[in-house]
Amino acid sequence: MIPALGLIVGLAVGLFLHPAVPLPLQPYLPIAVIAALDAVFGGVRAVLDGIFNDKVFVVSFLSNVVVAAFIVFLGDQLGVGSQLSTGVVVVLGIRIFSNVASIRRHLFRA
Amino acid sequence: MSATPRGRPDASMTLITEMMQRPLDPGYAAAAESRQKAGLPPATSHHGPLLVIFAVLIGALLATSAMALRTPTTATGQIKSALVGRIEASRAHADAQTRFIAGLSSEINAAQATALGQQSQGGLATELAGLEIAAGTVSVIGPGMVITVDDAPADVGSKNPNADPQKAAGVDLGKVRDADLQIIVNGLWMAGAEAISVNGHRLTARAAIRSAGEAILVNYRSLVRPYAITAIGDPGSLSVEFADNAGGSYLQSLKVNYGIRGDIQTRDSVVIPGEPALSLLAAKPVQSSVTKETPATTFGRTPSTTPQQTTETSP
Repeated sequence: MIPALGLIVGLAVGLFLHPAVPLPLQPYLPIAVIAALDAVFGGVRAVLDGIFNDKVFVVSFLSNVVVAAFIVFLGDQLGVGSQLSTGVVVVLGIRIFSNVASIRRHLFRA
Repeated sequence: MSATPRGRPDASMTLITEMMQRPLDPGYAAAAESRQKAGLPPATSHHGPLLVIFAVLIGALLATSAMALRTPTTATGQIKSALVGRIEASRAHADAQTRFIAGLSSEINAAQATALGQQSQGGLATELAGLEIAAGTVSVIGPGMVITVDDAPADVGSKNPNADPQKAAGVDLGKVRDADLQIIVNGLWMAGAEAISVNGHRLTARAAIRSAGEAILVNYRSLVRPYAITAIGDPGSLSVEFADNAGGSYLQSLKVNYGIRGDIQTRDSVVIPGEPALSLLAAKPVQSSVTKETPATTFGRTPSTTPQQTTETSP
């Protein structure tokens, strides 16, 4: 419950302060969001499975964001940034959907 | 699931199977197992400070990216809608003012008529009516023609072998420009038109056909396509002479070369609205023998009639 409150506090902070994001970093924001969502849903599923571990959660979030950003950066340097972004979004999107499906089975037994 | 015997039918799709069936980070299971071996419960607390910090961080990330990636479009959209609103407000204001002017000028006309009638100088009243018609401040009706000009259909450029593709990439040759309308209108004057309007805007002595950006302006009002050019003139000769002179052949070449649509219709009766007279501030009549002689020039040709009309309408 407390992490959920923290999430809401973070959303409020972002909405009301809305900090300026430097232009060169903007292409990485969508990827970072997808990676963060993947970590969040993975964490929720782990909670419901009864095997949650905060260290694993934090490390998986950080590594997801860093690796996704690195892939997109590399793609930008090679001229295939948008294709690699699509790849990252597809892979993380599939993971998000199956994690959500598992969460759904836990919550609604359906 | 992983310890299946060899020769699975979906062996070639292991990547997708792996992703779909075990989407959870295997790190969670491994960590839980090691904690159980050490005699601890498999799951850690959900309220650790690290977790809360990262929850706040993720929330801020979501909100920040939503704001950062959404703001530019809404900002431009806001500016655009604000500008559109201002344009519409100004246009409505201008329309209201135009109606106001029309009301006032009809009052003036009535007052003028009574004043002239009281002075029992019927000649002045008829002279005034004639001058008003010549100056284009009143609506006129008569036989004439309507030329409807419109941009070429969107795909005609590719079909047209005469159009230069390199030029077409930069400028849309199938678009009607202000110069096209000018040439057509000049052709109509040459053919003996007595009154001309473009999309309901009367071409008076002070009218100009200009362009501003993409739009064509007549009397400082922007037109929307199609452009309907209405002209009143001698029913027998107007269309024939227009077809013969430079304006007609120019319109024909626009149709043939650039696919611009031009439709000429001869009508028994067309109405051309008047344009409220703009008062002349700087121009004063010249009282010399030259002015006396100019009215003798032919009537109906713009270049010669316009200066003459302007001089006479000014008080």
